Amino acid sequence: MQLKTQSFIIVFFFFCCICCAGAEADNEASALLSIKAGLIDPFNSLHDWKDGGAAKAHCNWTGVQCNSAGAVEKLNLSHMNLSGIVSNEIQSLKSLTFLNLCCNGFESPLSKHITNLTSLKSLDVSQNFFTGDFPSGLGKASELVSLNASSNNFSGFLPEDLGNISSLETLDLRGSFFEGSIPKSISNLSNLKYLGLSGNNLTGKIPDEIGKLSLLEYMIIGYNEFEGGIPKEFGNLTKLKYLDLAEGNVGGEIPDELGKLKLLNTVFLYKNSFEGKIPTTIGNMTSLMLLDLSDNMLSGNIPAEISQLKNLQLLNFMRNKLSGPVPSGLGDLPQLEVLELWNNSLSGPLPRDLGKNSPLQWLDVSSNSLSGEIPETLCTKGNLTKLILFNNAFNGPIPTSLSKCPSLVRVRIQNNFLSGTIPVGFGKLEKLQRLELANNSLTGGIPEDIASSTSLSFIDFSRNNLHSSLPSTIISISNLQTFIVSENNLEGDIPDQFQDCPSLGVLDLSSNFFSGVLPESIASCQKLVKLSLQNNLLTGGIPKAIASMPTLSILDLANNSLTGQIPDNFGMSPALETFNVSYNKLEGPVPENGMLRAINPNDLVGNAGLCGGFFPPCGKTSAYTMRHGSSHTKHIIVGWIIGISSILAIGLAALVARSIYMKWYTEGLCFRGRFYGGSKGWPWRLMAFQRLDFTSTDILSCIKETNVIGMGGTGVVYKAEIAQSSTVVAVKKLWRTESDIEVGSGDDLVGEVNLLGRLRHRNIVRLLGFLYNDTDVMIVYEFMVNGNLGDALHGKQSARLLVDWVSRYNIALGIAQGLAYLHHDCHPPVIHRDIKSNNILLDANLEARIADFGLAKMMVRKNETVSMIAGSYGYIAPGELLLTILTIFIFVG
Amino acid sequence: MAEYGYSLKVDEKIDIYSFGIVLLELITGKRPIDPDFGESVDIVGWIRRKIDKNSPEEALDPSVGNCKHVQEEMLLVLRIALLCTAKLPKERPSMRDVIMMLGEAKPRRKGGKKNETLTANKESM
Repeated sequence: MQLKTQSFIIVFFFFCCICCAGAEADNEASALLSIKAGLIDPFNSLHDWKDGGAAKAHCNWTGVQCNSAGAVEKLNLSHMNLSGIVSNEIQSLKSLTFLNLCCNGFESPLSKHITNLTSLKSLDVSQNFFTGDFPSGLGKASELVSLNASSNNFSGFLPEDLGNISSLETLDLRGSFFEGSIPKSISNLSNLKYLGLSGNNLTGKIPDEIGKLSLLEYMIIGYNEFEGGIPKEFGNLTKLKYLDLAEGNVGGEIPDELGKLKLLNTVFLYKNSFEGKIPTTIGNMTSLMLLDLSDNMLSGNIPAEISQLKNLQLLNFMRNKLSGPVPSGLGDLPQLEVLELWNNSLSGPLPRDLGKNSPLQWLDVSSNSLSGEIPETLCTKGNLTKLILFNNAFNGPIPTSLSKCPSLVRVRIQNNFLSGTIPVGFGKLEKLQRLELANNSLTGGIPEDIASSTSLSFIDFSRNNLHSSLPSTIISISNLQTFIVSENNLEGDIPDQFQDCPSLGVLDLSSNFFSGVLPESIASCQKLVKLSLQNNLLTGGIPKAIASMPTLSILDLANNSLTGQIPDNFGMSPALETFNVSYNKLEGPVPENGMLRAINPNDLVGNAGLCGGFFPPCGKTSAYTMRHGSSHTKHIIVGWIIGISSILAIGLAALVARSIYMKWYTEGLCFRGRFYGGSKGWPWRLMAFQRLDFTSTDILSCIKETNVIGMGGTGVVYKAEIAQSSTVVAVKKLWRTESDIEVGSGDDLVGEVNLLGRLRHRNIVRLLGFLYNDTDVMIVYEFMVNGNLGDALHGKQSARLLVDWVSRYNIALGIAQGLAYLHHDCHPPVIHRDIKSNNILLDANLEARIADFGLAKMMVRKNETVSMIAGSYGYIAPGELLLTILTIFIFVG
Repeated sequence: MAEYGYSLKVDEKIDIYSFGIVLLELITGKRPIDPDFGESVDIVGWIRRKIDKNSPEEALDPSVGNCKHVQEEMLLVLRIALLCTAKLPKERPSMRDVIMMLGEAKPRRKGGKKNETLTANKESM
């Protein structure tokens, strides 16, 4: 090493004496080596950068290029995964005209010394993570033509002195955190062709002076937080080809002057607050190819002048307040491919010739008040892929030309007044995936050819007047996931062709006149999740095989004429959550296993022959006697014996239970197998809001002091780990007092909890079920691994969770969404009354979940004492706290 | 009730206030009641005093708000928290309004597509 250095020094001196240029070159080599020293180069891309070697050897190093005098002229270190810092030594490369650091992993501030490279013509530091201010001083680089610093983490203001670089043609500062307004000095960049400032935090008005950039061709400044509108001086940018101001927080009217820009081919102004009318001068922008004004508050008519834009390919006006007709001239535009006008208040018909003269691909005019017939011409050129017309007032037939349009992928024309029959041919369109015709007035049958489709995955023909039988192989469409034909007049048998339904997830044949038996082969649909057959005329029994379907979670067979017993394996069905067999002719005992133990009685009512569970007891032989027609007297005797012995048994059980309960109560023990917790010996009942993998016994065995994880105004919370099913839940045992029981408010409470159990929102802790007896209520919740927000913020481990603002913001938003659901989407609204950080739980993804909703209210109503006051100190407005106390005194007094 | 001049209609606004307090906890990292607050009784009074002194930045939790653009984002949410904790219930926004305002205060972080000039490939679903 020492030798090397020595020789280097000797060589250095040698060159120093002989010729100055050589010294310069060595200087540059050492500058490059100091640059290398500051870099982290994980792939050793700069392996050939090493000292020694011949003079000017560095000119052959990776990424280095010298000029004829031997000075480094170009340095290209792009795409090397470099990080670390760019050494100040870079300023020694005096002849550098081209510097490219693009597409690396730099996370440091950008060296200010870069501004001493006054010969630079091109500087590219884009696509890194450079932080801090962008160094000011580049104004000295008077020959700079291109500056690209896009996609970084720069912050602070845009450097004012950029305006001095009059040679600049490209200025790209998109995608950082620049703030403040666009400096007016930018108007001095008289050679500027490309201005990219989008995706920053720029504020203030867009300066009128931008209108002086007379050579500007590309202006991409959207995704900022500007105020005010588009300066009318933009009308002077006569070379402008591309204008992107999308999501720029700009408003006001779109200036008429834009019409002067004859070269403009792209205008993106979507997601702003533009109001007023679309200027009619838009018809003068004759080069326009892409025009997107969607997501604004534009009103009035669509100007007919738009039909003069013969180059128009994309026209997006959706999500505005436009009214009036769709200009008929749109049908004459020869290039139009995309037309999206959805969510406006447009009326009248679609242009008669739409699609006739242009390769129309997408047409979405959904959610307007359009009427008239669907034009025959939409697919004339054979390019139409998406036809989306839903929520309008279209009438007349579905054009037969559509069913012969091979490019179609989606047809969504539900919620109109279409009549006539479904044309034959949709089944032969090889790309068609969705066919949604629901809620029209279609008649006739389901065409046989639909069943031969190989591509359809979603079919919804519901709420029409279709009457026919189902094509026998329709369920076997290989990609079919959803098939809905509810609320029609369909009849005949359910086809027994379910052997091959590889993708079917939803099958809804409800509210028709299907008859015959429920085919057992339906059980071979391995992916079926929802099976809705209610309100038909089905007869026969429920096939036992259905219970073993692996993913079936909703089975609705209500309101048919099904007979026989409920097969006892239904309780053990692997995924079943909802099982509705009400209003049939079922008989015999309700099996008491698995999910059937916690079934809602409403799902069983209307079957005169059912017994057990919620129904009158079957008696040991009643099922037998009913079927075998045994004598009435025998029945009565058996009944008496059972009755008397049960009374004795209950009395005995009560005594035993009381002693066990007292023992538990005094000793605080808990052991498996005890089922009687109440002082009056009434067994705990488990009411489930969804499928549960545990029993009340599992829960009760965990209600012990060592499992307490929290205590609050409404009760004690236990953690229950159920080993067999490896699930963890939280159980809240509510505080109760004797008086509750005396006034018989237990039922109210159960009703209330029942109501809360139906709430479903991703930001609300899910109630899984509850256990109750005549004295106590325990509520079973999901267990949240990350505890509550109060501990996460103020607890000892707070350092680990929630250290960045984005996760805190997301929690705030989550709570807000959960509360908005409780306040605005629930009927009646649910007022929480005890929102506090300890009641906000955090799930595994640190998403907020509101807990304890609704309980505060119940507790107040049951125990009107000040100690039970709803809300927590510090979380109620001081004045209201007093009021609340006052009120409760008045109530109580 | 009415003759007492009070009509305590326990409505959504009581939740809005509490929500505002939770927002303040997220912003400041402090508990709603804290001995540090001194003479002002609670977090709301404390924050309002900081604002009166024109130094709301001092109230921000230093463990998250360590750079300027984050501080600005936090101040946007602070503004919402102050609205939620207005003294008069009728002056507090609804939860729907809060969601809208939170949307406007969304932190700006680079997503993968932020720089691409997308054609608006949107579709009503």
